[in-house]
Amino acid sequence: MSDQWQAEYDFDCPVSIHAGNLALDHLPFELSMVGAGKPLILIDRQGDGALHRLEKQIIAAFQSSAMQPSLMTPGAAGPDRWANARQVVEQYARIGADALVVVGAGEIVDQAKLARGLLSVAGQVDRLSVNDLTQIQSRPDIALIWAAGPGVDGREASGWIGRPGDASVFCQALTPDLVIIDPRLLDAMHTREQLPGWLNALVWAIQAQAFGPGNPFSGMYAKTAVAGIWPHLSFAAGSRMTKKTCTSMVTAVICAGFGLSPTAQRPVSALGRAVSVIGRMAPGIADMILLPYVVAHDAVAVSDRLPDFLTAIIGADKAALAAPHRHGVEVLRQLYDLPEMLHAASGGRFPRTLQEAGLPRFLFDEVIELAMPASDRGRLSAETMLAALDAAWAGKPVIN
Amino acid sequence: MYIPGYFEFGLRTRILAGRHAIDRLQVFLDRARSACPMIVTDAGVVAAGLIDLIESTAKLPASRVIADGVPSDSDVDVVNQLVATYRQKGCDSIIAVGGGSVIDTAKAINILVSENSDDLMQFCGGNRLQRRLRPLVVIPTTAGTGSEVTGVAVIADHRRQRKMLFASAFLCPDMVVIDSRMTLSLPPFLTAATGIDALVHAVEAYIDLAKNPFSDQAAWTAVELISQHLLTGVHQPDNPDTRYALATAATLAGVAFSNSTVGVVHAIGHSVGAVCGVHHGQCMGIGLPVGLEYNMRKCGENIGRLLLPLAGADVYVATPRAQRAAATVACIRELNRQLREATGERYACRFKDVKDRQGQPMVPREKWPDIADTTLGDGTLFYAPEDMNYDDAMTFIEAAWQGSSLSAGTENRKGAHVYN
Repeated sequence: MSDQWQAEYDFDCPVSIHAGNLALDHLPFELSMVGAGKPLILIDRQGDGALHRLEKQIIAAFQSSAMQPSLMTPGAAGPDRWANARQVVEQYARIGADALVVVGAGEIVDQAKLARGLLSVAGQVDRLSVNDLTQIQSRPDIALIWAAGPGVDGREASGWIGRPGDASVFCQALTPDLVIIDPRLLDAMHTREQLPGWLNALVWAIQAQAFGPGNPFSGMYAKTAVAGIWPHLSFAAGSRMTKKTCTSMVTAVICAGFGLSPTAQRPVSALGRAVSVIGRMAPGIADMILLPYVVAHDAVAVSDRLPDFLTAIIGADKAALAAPHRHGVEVLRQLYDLPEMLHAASGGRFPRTLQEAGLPRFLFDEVIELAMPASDRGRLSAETMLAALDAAWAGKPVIN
Repeated sequence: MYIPGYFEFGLRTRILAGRHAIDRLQVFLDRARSACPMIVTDAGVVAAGLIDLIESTAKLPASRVIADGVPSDSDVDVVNQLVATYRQKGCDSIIAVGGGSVIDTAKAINILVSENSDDLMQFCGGNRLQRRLRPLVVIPTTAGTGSEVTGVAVIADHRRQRKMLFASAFLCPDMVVIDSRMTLSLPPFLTAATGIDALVHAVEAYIDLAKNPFSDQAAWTAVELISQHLLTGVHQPDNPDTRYALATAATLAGVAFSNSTVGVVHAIGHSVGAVCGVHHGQCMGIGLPVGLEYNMRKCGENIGRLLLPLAGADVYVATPRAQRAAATVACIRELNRQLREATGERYACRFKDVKDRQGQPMVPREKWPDIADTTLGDGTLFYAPEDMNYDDAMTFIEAAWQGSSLSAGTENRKGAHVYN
């Protein structure tokens, strides 16, 4: 039995995935299978071209069915996403809908999850406290289906609301029932702009297992995520992805969300968030640069937990050639090399170090101060953070 | 990573696992708001003291009902009888404690009590259910079937002499509790046979046409765990780590095959089970090496990759790529041989050695045509890499009966010699 697994664990991720060509066409059938006939469809209107294509695809998917879907575009993300969720609830009641379908990514999915939460509690409730959210049991007669659109960052298919590592809440009951990944909905995706989000997902998958507590099921998703994201990163950095690789990438990014345990420590994200806020850079980039430097300071993570990822990163054949006791170090080496590879693939746009990303050294104290209160910082001390920042700034790998 | 043009994946069942996972059964009862659960089990489980263990650690409500009359080959009459008990006692959830027969019976009971029906036949087939059923938790006492995470149940109708298949995502149990204490009393033969059953689930899921990146990962981990722990489990039945690993592997293999599919080994195995009454796990172990050889022409690369989780990195690296598929088969044959030795020859490596209590052969030649006919009607062939006709099935059965390699014969149309 793998030593890195929890002695006792509870894994719950009741999401179904339909991925690939024509997956969207299954939507009416899947709705009928849960007894729904009048879905309220929420569409993310980001960019005029994308809007047109998404609406056209959705309407086409329902053309051969007897269903009459209602389309709605909730308001843009604002300071109070509850207001948007309430609008959805009102519209749901007004048209007598019996299922929620959300098309897009990020904020709009959060709004749909919150709307499902509001619909699931009895009485007139404007908003739910964090405690209410985590205790909620969603009503089985309100199906929530998410069709992935441009902008996927990985947490949409899980119970997370908000970004893990940022201000976020985990509500198991608000997890979507079904995820549809159809290449036609990903047409409008600008892969280079998506790269930070995908790097974030890669970091989540690795750190969730590296800093535990892991189990064979979360590990299954984390390894699938890494195996799916890694080979496509250089293509994404160079904007050279095809429809098929976009679908693979989105599938893998969603897996990273599944592999995230709500109780896992996230020291890389805790420090990465502080770096991105103080240094004004995309969180995924800060997290990716920091990942190996933070992990390298945790001997247990390197020796016991990183080895699991070697096959996912370099493939079974090459992994088998490496001496087993070197697997963790080899994964670390791959993580150190990744920014360099992305730098080359992006024609020098991707920074290799925190220095190249524009973080001045004199701001390290502020970074550490911002990262310190994070409850999920785990074993990362102030001294370790400073050492990791120093090394990541200069690009000096630490390999024991 | 292999990504097909289209695939579906789902794991609807919550997994509660650990050496003392039963202690947390209250999580299920709370979530289900259940005051009167019905425990569906069999006499063997009760005799092994497992129900006592659950009752003493999980603090079940006093109103719980214990239905321990599920036979090893449960049927529609048993289901109807237990449905009547469920209704009469006012039960509101089901706790299935046992192996495949108990779990499938519990699923069938759940269909009727949730749909408020008395006609199980009405729900036979695929996707006949359209809403969630009553809360169902499964506590497996064998490590093999994977039924604890699948949306499938098979129930016999002995009067009509047929087996009814029920398939729906709503049949997936709400929760599975994997507790190493539940399989500690499993005797060596059943440990071997159920472990091999799980191995075949994982291997066939990995090589079949409906595979996807999720089923691959689950299958890979399951193969790794079984190859590391199965023999130890037979030799040291009291080892809780080994039992925990095997139970986890069986569930992972269930996740793998329910999201991919099984293939020709199951098609032949189902038929030998139906025609000759041979234990399912035993059929799986005998059929696996032959099934891999049979499929080598179509998926030799995938079979060869399995050498890594089965035999480890040293053997994998030392074996030339073109010979890895054959080495995988050799590895399975060696595992079979070791299991036979470890079970005092109760576990058989070929159908020729499978005998009933009177010492009579259970798979005589005169039954082979029946087996072949039944195999061709088995739904598991649908996603199998290699197609099969009557002659192929007869060739397969002969090789499995003799314990010989398919490639050793000259008459077979498919097999390892073609791949190599």
